[in-house]
Amino acid sequence: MTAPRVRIGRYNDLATRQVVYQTDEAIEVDEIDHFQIVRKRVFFDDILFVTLHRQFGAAFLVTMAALGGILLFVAAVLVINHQSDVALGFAAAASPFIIAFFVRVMLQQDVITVYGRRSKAAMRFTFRKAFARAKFEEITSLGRRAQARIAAQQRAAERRTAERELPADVPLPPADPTV
Amino acid sequence: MEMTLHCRNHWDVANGLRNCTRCGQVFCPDCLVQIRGAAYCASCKNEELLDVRSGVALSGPLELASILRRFAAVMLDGLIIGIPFWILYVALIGVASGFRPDRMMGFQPLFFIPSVIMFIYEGVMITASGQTLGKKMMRIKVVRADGTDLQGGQGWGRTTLRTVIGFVPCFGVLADYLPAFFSKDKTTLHDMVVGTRVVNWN
Amino acid sequence: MAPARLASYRGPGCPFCGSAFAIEGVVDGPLVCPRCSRQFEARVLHPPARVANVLQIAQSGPEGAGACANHPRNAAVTSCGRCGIFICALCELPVDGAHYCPACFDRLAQEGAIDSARLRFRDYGSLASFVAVIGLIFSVFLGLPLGILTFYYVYKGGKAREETGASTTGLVLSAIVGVIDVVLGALFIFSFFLARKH
Repeated sequence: MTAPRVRIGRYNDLATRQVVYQTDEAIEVDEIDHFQIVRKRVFFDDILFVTLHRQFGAAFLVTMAALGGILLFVAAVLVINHQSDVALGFAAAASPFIIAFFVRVMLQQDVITVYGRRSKAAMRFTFRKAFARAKFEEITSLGRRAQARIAAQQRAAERRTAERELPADVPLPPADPTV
Repeated sequence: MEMTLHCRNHWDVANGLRNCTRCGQVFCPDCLVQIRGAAYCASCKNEELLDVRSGVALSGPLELASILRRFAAVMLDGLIIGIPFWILYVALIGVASGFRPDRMMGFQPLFFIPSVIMFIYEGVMITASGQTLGKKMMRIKVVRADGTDLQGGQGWGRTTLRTVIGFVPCFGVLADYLPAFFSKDKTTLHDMVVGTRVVNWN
Repeated sequence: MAPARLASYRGPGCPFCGSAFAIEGVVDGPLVCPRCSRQFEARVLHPPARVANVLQIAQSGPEGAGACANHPRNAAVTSCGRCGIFICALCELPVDGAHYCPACFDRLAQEGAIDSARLRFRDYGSLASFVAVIGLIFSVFLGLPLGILTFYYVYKGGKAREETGASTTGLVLSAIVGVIDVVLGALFIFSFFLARKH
């Protein structure tokens, strides 16, 4: 069975739906694409760069403003035409969009992006900002620890080979092989 | 400059040499390992294994784009290019004919001009980069069946085929796109003939 | 010469504008993107290049390690977890805690038996909800078959829950809607036949 993994965040976009998990060795990104899940990983010992930034998420703001604006506009037109009860319905329908708009403007979104050598993972947080900051530091330290471990293993393996003697009949390559 | 090739690690071996698939350097059979049909040297073996486990291996299956995304891309193309040009075209004809319906009918043979513009737009963009604007926005791309970029006239051939099949009233578009739902590689009829696939590209 | 990849991931970049970013000499802390001038917090790591996994040339003498089954010149370091042949450091493919020879790795990866190499799954959770909803909308004719299909997807989703992270609540809800589909579909078919009899 697969290693136990913890769901740590998600990344939803115009064309993508991604759920981000954390395992012992890697950050896993499950991209849900039309009833199929495609999985990519960024291994901790492959991480090059981790960033944390705060953004508005313009696309979301524009969409919420547009939808809320249209509904409010219809409500306003109805009020002008003395149909306040129907206008109230439209205003109520507009409210979630308006609320979402203002929540996003006030809180903004914290985004952690993990850049590996061959893949990357990103996750967005609107409310759990302290969690995002903690996760950011945690991923960094896990990455550093895994990379230090690999470096130590490499050094140990190199030391082991260097200690062995090569048989005399195997010609050594010249001191400076040109590529 | 040496005339004979030799393995990078074993300078005495000169036969049976092959190139590592990733770094391209020459090695003897003792220095290469075969994974999924391709040969790798010691340094590249670990990299390839990491590629496989990270989900970015080139030798793996293509990441075929979902039909929904492809449909959305075509819709976007229509919105971006088709509608503005169609409006422009109708406006021009209107002006040229003084907005008199009887005279506008005289321009009927030119009704296909927006379609021609769509055809040229798609042909040019797909040949250049495998992506139209709609495909760029939906992050998908047209590639050959093995994953490499389109070459030669494949872009134009694909667009021509799609347009021509689409001319058949009612059934053309259906016959073209129906195979995509059932085939393993989500290939439409024009994909199958030209040998292309539409993959995710982000 | 790096191999071309299908996805166009080009390495670390600015998280705002996406433009490529050279990270040599960059230190931890707040950084400003040279292109879009926006600031972000960054940490730089240095993954060690997994250099030539040290090949060991077959040692002379009978007390040396046996030779690799694939490479007569290399010393065997371990044996394959599936077929047992001796393999050298070049052949051994460590995945999921076991070591395999290249042939067994290829075979297992094809079968889908290597967990870390299985990267595509059907999302039974969303399939189940989608089919359930369609079954509800078209319950007149499709209620019965789509309801049964929903149960099948819920079952498969339940089994694969650990792998694919399908939410239990979602599956349960889809199952409930599936029941409604089957009931409605059966009722319609029933009433259709009853109507014909009269």
